[in-house]
Amino acid sequence: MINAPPIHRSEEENLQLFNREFVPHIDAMYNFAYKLTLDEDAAKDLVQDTYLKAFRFINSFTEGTNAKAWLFKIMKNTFINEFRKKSKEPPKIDYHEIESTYNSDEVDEDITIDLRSEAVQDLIGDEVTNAINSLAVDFRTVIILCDLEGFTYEEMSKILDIPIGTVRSRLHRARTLLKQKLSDYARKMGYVNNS
Amino acid sequence: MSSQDSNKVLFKEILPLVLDGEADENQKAFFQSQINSCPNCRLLYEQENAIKEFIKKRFVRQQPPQDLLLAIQQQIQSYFSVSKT
Repeated sequence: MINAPPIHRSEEENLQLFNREFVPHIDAMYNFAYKLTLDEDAAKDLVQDTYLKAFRFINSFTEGTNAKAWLFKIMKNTFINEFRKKSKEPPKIDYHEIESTYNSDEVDEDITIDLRSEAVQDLIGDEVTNAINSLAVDFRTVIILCDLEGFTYEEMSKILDIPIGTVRSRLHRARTLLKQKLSDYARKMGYVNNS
Repeated sequence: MSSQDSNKVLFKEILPLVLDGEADENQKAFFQSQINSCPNCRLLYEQENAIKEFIKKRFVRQQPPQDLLLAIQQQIQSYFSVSKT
């Protein structure tokens, strides 16, 4: 996304483009930054770094293309390259290790939790935020991109630099883990799933 | 594996594509026929859909600090020497 041939515009035009295409996404960018870092100050720094890079490379951005996906890709790369090492995120566990762990026969792939009724949703309340935040960052990221931000698999593949097949399997693992966590919580709260 | 079982396996594979808006026409048609003919498939769809909706509704979005945009614009001005519009 950042490798498109440069387009020459005046600084004034670039600033207008920046305000028109990038600024409207600041809420989503901050939310993504917070979900990645789980820290307000780090999230603020990550958003600032992302927007500064976006401006620096604005001549590589083609107007009318997906500005939000472009910004998310810059943020993801900035997080991996600069923030992950100094953030409060616990040491990264090898993703393939996680993936193979949850591919094993010991994990119940059929786990489900019945959230169709308002009563159960109220019982679980905002535990979904805690449950998602407790996932490893790679799993957390795909849930945010897909379920919260509504990116397509193809957009996610470009943002994350992974094949679409990996997007799908990572989403599947993330959702299985999330259901496991919500199901455990519901059980702890006294709700017994009758399925 | 019976054809009913293999349909159920295929349904589970297609279900996330449908929920994520990624299914093609053939997959949508298969999905529709399964939820019409298989009560367990319908139940699974309703449960998975409820989880997705629950995430959208309850996963708290963090709001940026009010001064963040101003700080970014000031940094851009000082780093790149552009004037305010």
